[in-house]
Amino acid sequence: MVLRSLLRRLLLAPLVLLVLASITFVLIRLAPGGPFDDERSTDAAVEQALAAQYHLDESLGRQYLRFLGDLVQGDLGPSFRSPGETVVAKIARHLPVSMGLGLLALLVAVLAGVSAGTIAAVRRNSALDHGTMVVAMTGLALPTFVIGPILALVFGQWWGWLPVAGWQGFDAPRYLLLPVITLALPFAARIARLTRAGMLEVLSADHVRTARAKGLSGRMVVWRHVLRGGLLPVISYLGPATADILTGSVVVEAVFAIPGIGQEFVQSALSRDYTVVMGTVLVYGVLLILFNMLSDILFVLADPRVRNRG
Amino acid sequence: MADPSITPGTELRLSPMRLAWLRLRSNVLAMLSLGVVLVVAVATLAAPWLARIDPDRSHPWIGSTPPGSSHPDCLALSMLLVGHPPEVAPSQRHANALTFALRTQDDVDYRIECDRAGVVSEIARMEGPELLDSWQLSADQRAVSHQGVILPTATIVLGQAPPPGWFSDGKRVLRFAVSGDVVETTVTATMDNQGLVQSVQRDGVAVDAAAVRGETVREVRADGQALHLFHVLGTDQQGRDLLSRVLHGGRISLLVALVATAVSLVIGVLYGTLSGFLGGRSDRLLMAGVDVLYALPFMFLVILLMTVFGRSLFLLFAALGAVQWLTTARIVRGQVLSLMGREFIAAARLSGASGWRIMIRHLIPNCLGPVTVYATLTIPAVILQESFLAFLGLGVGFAGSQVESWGGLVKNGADAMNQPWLLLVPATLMAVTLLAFNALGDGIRDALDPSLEGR
Repeated sequence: MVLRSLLRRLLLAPLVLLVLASITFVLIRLAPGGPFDDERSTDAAVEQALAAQYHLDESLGRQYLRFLGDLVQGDLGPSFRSPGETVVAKIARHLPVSMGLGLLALLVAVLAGVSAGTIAAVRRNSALDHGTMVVAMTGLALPTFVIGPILALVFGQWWGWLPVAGWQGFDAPRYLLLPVITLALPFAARIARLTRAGMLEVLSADHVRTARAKGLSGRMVVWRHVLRGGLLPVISYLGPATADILTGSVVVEAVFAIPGIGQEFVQSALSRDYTVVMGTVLVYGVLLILFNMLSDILFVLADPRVRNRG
Repeated sequence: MADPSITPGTELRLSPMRLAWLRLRSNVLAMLSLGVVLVVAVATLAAPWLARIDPDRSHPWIGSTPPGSSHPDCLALSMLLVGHPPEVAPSQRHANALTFALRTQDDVDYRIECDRAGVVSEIARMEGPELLDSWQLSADQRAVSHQGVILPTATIVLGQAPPPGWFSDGKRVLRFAVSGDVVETTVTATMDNQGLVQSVQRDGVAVDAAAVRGETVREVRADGQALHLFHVLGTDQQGRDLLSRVLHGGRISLLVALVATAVSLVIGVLYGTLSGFLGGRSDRLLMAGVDVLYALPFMFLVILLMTVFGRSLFLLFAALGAVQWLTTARIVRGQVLSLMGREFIAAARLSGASGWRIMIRHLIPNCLGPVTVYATLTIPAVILQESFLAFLGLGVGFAGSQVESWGGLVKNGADAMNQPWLLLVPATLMAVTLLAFNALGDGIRDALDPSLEGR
């Protein structure tokens, strides 16, 4: 099942990217206004020269084909709004920030979510279980853009423990803490719920009963047998989670003034920087596909039933 | 969970819907959430009656005030012109007599210049204007420089060094304003029986017209009764009533959520039913289409859509509906596939029912359970997405109004950390609403299919 879905994803990937590229191209070209609208030189000759330089004077069909041709060669073109910088360079500058933030958040979310979910499942129906699940439900319902400003208000403004916003790179953890927690919280909540449900199912499975009957300690049973099976739903969630992390990152970047790719995307969409918009959307598409595949592969590795079937 | 109202005997005689309702009713959290959802829905629907202050009505001179503040009820500019209807705040339009107690204080601007030697070379009073040889700032006057610095009491004389603390380092020109005398005035107006202004008096002297600026008003009386505006939840930076804005904003959030969910249901149910009904190669093709769309970074396309085509309400319905229908289609298709092998479909076929009839009469009604569950969970998801867009400054509004949805209000609050109520009020309301919708959705799912409980 999973292997087939992996294969399917692989086959669909080029199609997905083509559809994505086409939709984006059509959308941005239908838009009223162009990238050079608020340029001071309204001189017709200058405008024409600019248009010719970026091939904006060709027919849309030719521009589309040219765009696809360049894309296949990995060339996303120059940025219209930041002269002298290619889209690839621009993305290379901003993407690592967002990626680093996202991966840190994912790490925090998995660690916190799995521990909380495991404890809740093992101590089922205890106060601890109910408490964890209430927190998880709250974390799930609260959007990032509510958590972020509130954390900034409480820890930054009121208590003054951490900076309200700003970015000093990855070696300034004080600036990283709030954004990472904000981004991680909803995923930690979802992962906690998935872990708990998965664990509960495995806890009542035959092989766990056998393990217990053999006299293994409760802790050993959980570590050796339950965790592995119980984490399968979490692993398959990691793929779709990337989509949410990417969108969440846009908000977190806006709240904490972080120079990531999300900010860049919104800005370039607003200023009609065609090439940057196309580039970032495609990067998002590729990331989504990659992480979905990665999560499928992990799933195969973790589930002996799938692995042995080949 | 054991339910005293459902005994094994009764279970057989109850319809599935009734049974589900009984299960839901015994779920305290779900019922509580249902209550919250209903309260929020009614409160936002009844916003114009619950919050009597127009959400767009601004009072820039009071600025952002904390919850529970109040101030005299008046417009930024009230106009009283004999023979015309009074242009005043709504609470005063039908009064027979109006009294405005005003307090005005005029500032006088001064400019002082030093020459290169560092002595005062010019003292200018800008009103008049006149040049002075010397000038004294006495203790009962208040002088504020254009940089906002309060100046200490001093005497300035031409040709002498300026007093300490007046000029900042390196500056040779100082501009400042001195608060003038406080002037108290009373404007009264009487209305005739058609509601037109009959007479206007300023301090007892009859005039033809009077304009009353909001920031000068100390008290308003209509027919002898003092009128105040009370802001239960405070006001935003432009002095607009927060309660009113939150309730009116909730209408946008909920409207978008309901319509977009409905759009997604219609598309998703039709697509899913068709795919499952056709089966075989068509089914695979249709579902491959869904898979392709699923793999797109959809929220980014919606952001693009909103920036590109402007913030139209209908576009937003369509865009968010288009994001959500995919899952509905998958759920419905799975359900339809499992139904297709059942006897009643075969029976319908044998009795000559057309494909459409089978889909509409037999397949769709049998999918409604899972679809309901998914729809209740779609509503909060759409509220979230709409607010996400509003947070990024891509929100939509109703024609002409400045009302913003909850996401826009949260954004506004996030930018004003010194007035925490501006963030906490919309954030709390939104969080409670989303939580209630999610808990209700979970409850309905558990009620319709108890085997899924706790997932």
